[in-house]
Amino acid sequence: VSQSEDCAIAKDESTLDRYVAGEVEGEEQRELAAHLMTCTACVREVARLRRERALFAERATIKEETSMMWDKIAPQIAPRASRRVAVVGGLVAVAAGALLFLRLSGTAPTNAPVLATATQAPSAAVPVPSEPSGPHLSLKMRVRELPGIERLEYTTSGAPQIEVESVAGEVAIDATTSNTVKVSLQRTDDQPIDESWWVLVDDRDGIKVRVWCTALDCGHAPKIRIGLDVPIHAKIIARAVSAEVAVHGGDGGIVAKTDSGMLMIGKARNFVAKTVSGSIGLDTPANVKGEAKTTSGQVEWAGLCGAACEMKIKTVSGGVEISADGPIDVDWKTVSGRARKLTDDGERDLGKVAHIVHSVTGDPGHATVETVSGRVTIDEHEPMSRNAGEKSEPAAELDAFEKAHPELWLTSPIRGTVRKVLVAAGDHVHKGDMLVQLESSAERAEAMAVEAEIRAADAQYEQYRKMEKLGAATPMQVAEARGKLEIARARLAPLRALAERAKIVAPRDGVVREVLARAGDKVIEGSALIQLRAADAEPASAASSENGERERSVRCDVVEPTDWLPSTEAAAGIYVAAFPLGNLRRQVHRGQRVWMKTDAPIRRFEGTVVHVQPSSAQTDVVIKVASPRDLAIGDGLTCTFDPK
Amino acid sequence: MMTQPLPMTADASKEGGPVDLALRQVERARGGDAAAFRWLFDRDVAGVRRFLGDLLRDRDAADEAAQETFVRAHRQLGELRDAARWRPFLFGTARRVSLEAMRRRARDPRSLEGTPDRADRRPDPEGALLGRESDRMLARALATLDEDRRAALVLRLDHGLDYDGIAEAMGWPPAKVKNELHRARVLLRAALGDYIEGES
Repeated sequence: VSQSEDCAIAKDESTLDRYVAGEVEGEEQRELAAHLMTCTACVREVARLRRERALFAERATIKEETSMMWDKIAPQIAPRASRRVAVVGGLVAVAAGALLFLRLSGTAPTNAPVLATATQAPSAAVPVPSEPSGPHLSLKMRVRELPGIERLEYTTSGAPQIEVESVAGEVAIDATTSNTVKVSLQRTDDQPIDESWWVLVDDRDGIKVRVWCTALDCGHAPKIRIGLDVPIHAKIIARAVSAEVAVHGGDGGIVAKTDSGMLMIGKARNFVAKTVSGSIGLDTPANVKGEAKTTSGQVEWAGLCGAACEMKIKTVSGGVEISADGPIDVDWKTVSGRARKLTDDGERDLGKVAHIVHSVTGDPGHATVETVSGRVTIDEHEPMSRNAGEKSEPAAELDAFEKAHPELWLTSPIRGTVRKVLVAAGDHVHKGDMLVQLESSAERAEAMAVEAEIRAADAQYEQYRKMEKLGAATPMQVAEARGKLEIARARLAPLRALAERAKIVAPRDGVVREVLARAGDKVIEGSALIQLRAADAEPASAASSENGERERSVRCDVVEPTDWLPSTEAAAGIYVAAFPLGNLRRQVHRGQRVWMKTDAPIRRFEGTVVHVQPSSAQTDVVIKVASPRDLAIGDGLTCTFDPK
Repeated sequence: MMTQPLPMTADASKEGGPVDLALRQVERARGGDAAAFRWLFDRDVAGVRRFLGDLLRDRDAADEAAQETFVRAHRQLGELRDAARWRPFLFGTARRVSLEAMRRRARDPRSLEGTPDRADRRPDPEGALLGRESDRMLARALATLDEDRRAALVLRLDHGLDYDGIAEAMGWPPAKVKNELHRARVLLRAALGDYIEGES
């Protein structure tokens, strides 16, 4: 016990500390033990180290109930095995619960990704990722009242691009507040968000928020609302599959896309909104520049237009409603047949009018509205002088529009069920061909009710007649019963008319591009059924394709030889005229062989082109039929031209 | 404490000692065995909670953070390469959770648990509960250390992590562990005075 008080081993107590803890073994331990025999400083140090430990050890004897705590975490760790990895946008996220994947890099992409998970215990704290690191971005995140994610908060000084993607969710972006980006998830039915909902926030390049659901029945689940508060100058890109997207603000421009969800754009001066079958709602400030496209959804535009307004609205089969204030110069296009205008007196069929231009005095903003088979409604706040489409040639306008829209989606005019699909992709169809047979659910229900009514009325009528014979009923009663029966029968007529509407016929010749409808499908007004491509929109080289014959075919009619037929050909014979030839005209020449067939029953004929009219004429081509058995004036055929 | 039977197999019992069993349980938990994870929870929850109590100095916050620690540890079990490093892994997770909680508290001064003097009013829940002078003393002494040193010190003295384990849990190089522990001890002893120095 003689070593100096300033023994190096005692001073740096770590060796003795390990010795006290029993972590020193073998030769080192023996050496230390020997040293302790002689070193006072080390002995004292060991004593201190032991007392230290004893203080902590005493404290550690206090026991507390922890099963409650287990009960809280148990549900969060239960589904571990079932849900593992999802890769989105190159990021890998693993989660047991609803997940936030936050990559905080700002403009410095070197930062490590931070993985945070929303826990489910009430008011459980969720990790706050690392301190603000990038020069442009800091993050504050809070998750409360879990399970699920209530709110994420970003603070940003830049003007990032914000991208939101959702599968089967609802996306709502509110960019009216400045300086913060807040992401919140909320179920619209206020139920907790379960672990099948995933959120991914990626800000490596702008801010991307992706929300998706891993459960099988998410599509039917109550919607999730994702709230995102963004700087007013942010550019926003919102994409969703079967989700609703709502974007509010964002002067930096908005691109919003969804497959079947609804799009809501508000207070944005610059946007593109696209949806396949969803509707689009626009509530715009003045001088907006925007584009809204939907295949079968409804487009509604409210708000202001302003002098520098430039708006394009396009829909294939959806309706368009404009109730924007201010001077609007509207290009309004719609294809015949189903285009209607809602007026004060109700719905008015616009018939063949394909293109109507409204203009106002002053320096108007500009809006283009196009629809193929939808409904266009313009609520005219300002007096508009009609620079009307009636002045233009409707057929020419229609042709021009059809050429501009070679692909046409045919949609259901009713709510109901697909009974029968009569065509497949690749089929060539002719104008008027029935493509899909629908059944209106209202019609079906009503028809069944009316039929039951008729049967009951009929039975009662029969009964009264028998009773009358027995003297048990008066002629008045019989007449009354008969009247009821007739009223019931009369009600069937409008139902039959409805049944007519339930047929989808080809509005023009063409090729079926895509068939979405399947027998048994439930459809609503506007559901896309079949995509039809105009026959003459096919490329000229189609003659060499396997469907070449179809491409070289055109509808034609048996006509009487009249004075327009060149005198040299005015001999006896049956002639067929085809109109219009469209693109086929370039391939048709005098002397060309033509095969013809009638539809039902199918009979085949052969002929030769005897005349090709100048384009201004009504008839494009005249064909002399070689052996016209049983062909009569007015018969319709399909003429197929020899490729040579 | 245990409310479930131990998931002991013949294999595990052969291994004998508690350390080996813990190793087994970590391996099982990593393979998705919920009962094994429950076993680990039961064994370590009190320590984790005490550790978080020392760091956060707030009983409710510590409870909340302890829950989060186990949830997160469970989720990240796959990242634990060596089953023997379970405790460094667990306490490292707890420490990260506590840092996040403190940061959150600092950012939101309205949060109740964030009132700085609350820790002073209730310096040490366990100690206050039992009214033990030594515990109150220890709590006061720990309070004089800065957060990092306090964490390292209690990992060493209370939770028995070795130097490598502390380095792992704190994310420090091993040399720093030695240094920080030394400084922490100097301060702790100064604060505790006679409790450590004894009568001598």
